[in-house]
Amino acid sequence: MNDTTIKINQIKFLEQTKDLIQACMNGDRYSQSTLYEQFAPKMLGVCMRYSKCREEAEDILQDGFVQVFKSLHTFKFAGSFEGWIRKIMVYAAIANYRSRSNMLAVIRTVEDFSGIEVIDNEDVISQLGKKELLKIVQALSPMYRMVFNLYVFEGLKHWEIAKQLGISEGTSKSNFHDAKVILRKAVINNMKIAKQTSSNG
Amino acid sequence: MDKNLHEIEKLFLKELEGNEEFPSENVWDSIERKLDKDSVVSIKKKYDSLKKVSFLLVFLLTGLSIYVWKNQDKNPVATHVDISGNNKKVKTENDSLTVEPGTGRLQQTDGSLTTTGKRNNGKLLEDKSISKSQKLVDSFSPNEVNNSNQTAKSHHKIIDKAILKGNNAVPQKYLIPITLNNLSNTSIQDNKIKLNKPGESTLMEGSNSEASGFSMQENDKLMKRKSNEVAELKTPNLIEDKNTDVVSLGDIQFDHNLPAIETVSSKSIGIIEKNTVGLFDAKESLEEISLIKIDPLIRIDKIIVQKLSTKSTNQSQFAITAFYSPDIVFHHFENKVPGNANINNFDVPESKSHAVTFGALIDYSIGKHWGLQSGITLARSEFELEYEIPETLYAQQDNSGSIQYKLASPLGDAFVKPSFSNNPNIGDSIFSKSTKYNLQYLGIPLAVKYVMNKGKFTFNVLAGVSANFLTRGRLITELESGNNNETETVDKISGLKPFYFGGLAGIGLDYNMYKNLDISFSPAFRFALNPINTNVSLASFPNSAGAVLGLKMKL
Repeated sequence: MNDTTIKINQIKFLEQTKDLIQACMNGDRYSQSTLYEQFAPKMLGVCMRYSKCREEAEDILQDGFVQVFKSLHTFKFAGSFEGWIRKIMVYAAIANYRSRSNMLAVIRTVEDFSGIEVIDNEDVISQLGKKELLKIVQALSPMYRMVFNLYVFEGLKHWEIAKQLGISEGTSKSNFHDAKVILRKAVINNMKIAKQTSSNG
Repeated sequence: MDKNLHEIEKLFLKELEGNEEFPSENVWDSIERKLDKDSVVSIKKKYDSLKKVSFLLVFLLTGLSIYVWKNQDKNPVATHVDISGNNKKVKTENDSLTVEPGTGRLQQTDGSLTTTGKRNNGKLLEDKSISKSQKLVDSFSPNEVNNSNQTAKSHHKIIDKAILKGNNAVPQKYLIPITLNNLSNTSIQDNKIKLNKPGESTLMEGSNSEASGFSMQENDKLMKRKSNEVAELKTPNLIEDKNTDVVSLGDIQFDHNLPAIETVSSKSIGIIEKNTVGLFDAKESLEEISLIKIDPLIRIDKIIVQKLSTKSTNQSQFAITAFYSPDIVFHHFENKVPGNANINNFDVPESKSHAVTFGALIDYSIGKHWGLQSGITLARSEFELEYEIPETLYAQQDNSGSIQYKLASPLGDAFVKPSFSNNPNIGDSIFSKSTKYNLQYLGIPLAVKYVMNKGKFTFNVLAGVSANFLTRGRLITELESGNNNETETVDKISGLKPFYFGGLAGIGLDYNMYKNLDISFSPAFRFALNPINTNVSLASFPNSAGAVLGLKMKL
C-alpha cells in the first residue's frame, strides 16, 4: 500500500467519522452506538490506567461517553477527534478522582523505599506483560496514579497538573517522584517473582 | 542504575500507550439510559420555548380579536360621485356605479345593490338609496323625492322648517338611514368650506376635512353650463347602516334650480350620540346638526356632522408603545491580554441563553416622515458558560478581608463561600463546572425613525443609541463537592460596569387595527458600544437580536 492509498483511506475515514459525528449530534442512537464501538476499546485502555480496577474504569468510560455525546456540538473539527474524546475521558477520570477522594496528597518519604534493589537489566520491563504493568500502575495510590498518568501519558506540566488536581506544583513533583520509586520497586518485585517461578518450574 | 529503570516512565509509556480493552456490554446500556434521561431534560427546555411561542400567539390573537370585534359592524365605503356630461359615476371602495345617460339608472358591478335614480328633464336630480337590504331604504321613500325638483325642494323645506322651529314632527319618510361610525368619522368645519361665486372653483378641502375623509371639488365652468356639471364628492362612510350595510346617497342631491347658497349654518358642528341608531331624527339633531346647502350644483342635504373631538381634528404628535421582545443574546469577547487562554475555555451553548426585553416607548413625529423614539426598557438576559476544563477557584482574601474562593469569570470576578467549605484557607481550591449569569439592565433609548405610510400599514426604519444601567448582576456557579454538585449564587460581580452605551437598529411595521391603535412588529438588533465589564482579561460585548411585538396608541 503506497502513501497515496494511505492518504485516501485516511480522508475517507475522516469523512466517515465526520458524518458519524453529525448523525450523533442529531441524536441518532445507532450512530452513537457505532461511535461508541469504534472508540470504546481505546478509551477503556486510557481509563484503566486512571483507575484501580476494571469496574471503576468502566464507570469512567460511561461518564466520559455521556459527556462526549452531550458535548459533540463543541467539537470544531479542527483537530483529532480521538484526541478530543481522550481529553474528555481524562477529565472524566479527574472528576471521578475528585468525587472519590476527599484525599490529600500522599506524603511519603524516600526512606519508605530504602530497600529497593537495583537491577541493571534493561530488558526487565519487556519481560513483564502489559497486564502486569497495568496492575502495577493501578496499584499506585489515587494521587500518585493521577500525577503519574497526567505527566507521562498526557504530557501535562506540573503546574497544569497542580491546577487540575487542586494541589501545589511542588506536591505534584514530589508525588511524581515517589510514584516512580514505587513503580521501580514494584517492577523489581515482579521480576523476582517471575524468576523464582521460572527457576522452580 | 540502569537508564531504563531511571526513566521508568518512558518504559511504561511505551508499553501502555496503545493499550486497548473491550468493555463489558452493560456499559453501553448504562450510557443509553443516561442519554435517555438527559433527553427528557431537553424536552423540558423545549417547553420553555413553547411557552414563549404560546405567549406570542395569545398576544397576536388578542390583538386580532380586538380588531375583528371593533370592525365587525363596520364596512367602510368610500363614495365617489363623478358627474361628467351625461355620464355619472359613483364609486365605492368595493363597487363602481355608473349612471346611465338618459335614464339616470345606476349600474354597478355588485348586483346586490339596489339603486334608484332618475334624470329629470335634463336636469340632474338624483336621490339614490343603495342597499343590500331594502328595508331601511324603503323607509326613506326615495321615489317621492326623486319625482321632481319641486318634490325635492319641498322635502328640504319641510325638514328645514322642522329644524328651525324645533319641531320634532318630521315625517318618517324623510328620515334617512344613518350610521354611528360614519357620523363619528365624518366632519367638516365651516371655516374649511369655501363657497365660491361663479367663476371660482368650489372646494371643500383642508386638513380637517381630509382628516375626516370629506372633500368636494367643483369646476366653475359647470356653474355656467348646468348640463355638464362636474362634481366630485368623497364621502367615505357618509351614510351607512350599521346593521344592513346600507349606503344611501339620498343626502346628495344635485339641483340646478336651487340658489347658490340656500342655507349655510355657520355652526354646523354637532354630536350624534351613540344611541342614535338606524335613523337620523331631526329632532334629536336639532341642536347639533345644521344643514349645509352649498351651491346650485351640489346640495349636501342633511348630514355633515363633526364629532366634537379634539383627538380626531387635532391629533397629537405623540404615540406610546408597550412592547415585548424575546431576544437571542450572543456575547462577543475580546481578549485584552495577548495569549490569554481563557477565551477558549468556555462555550456558550445557544440553548442555554435566554433573554427578553420589554418596556414602553414614546414616539414623537417630526414632519411627515421623521420621528424620534425614546422611552424606558428593561432587558433581562440569562446565559450559561460551560467550561471545557473545570475552572479552579482558589481561596484568597476579598476586599473586605474575609477568605473566599475567587471565581475569575469572563464578566468579572466573584467571591463564593460554599457551604461545604465555608472556612477555607488561602490557597485552598475547589472546582466550578459551569457558571450561569443573570443580568438585568434598565435602558433609555433614543432613536431616529424614518416612517413611510401605506394604507393601514406604516413602515419604519430606526437607528439610535441607548444608555443602559445595570440593575442586577447575578452569578450562579456549579461547584463540585465530592459526589454531588452544589450551586452557589453571588449577587456581586466586581468587574461589571454599572453603565454602558449600546446601539440599536431595526425595521418596523405597524398595522392600524382600530382608530388610534396600532399593532407593531419590528425585528431589532441591539449591540454594546463599549464593554460591560472592566479590569478583566476579557472584554464582553453583549449583542442581541429580537422580535419586538407591541401595541401602539396614538395620543
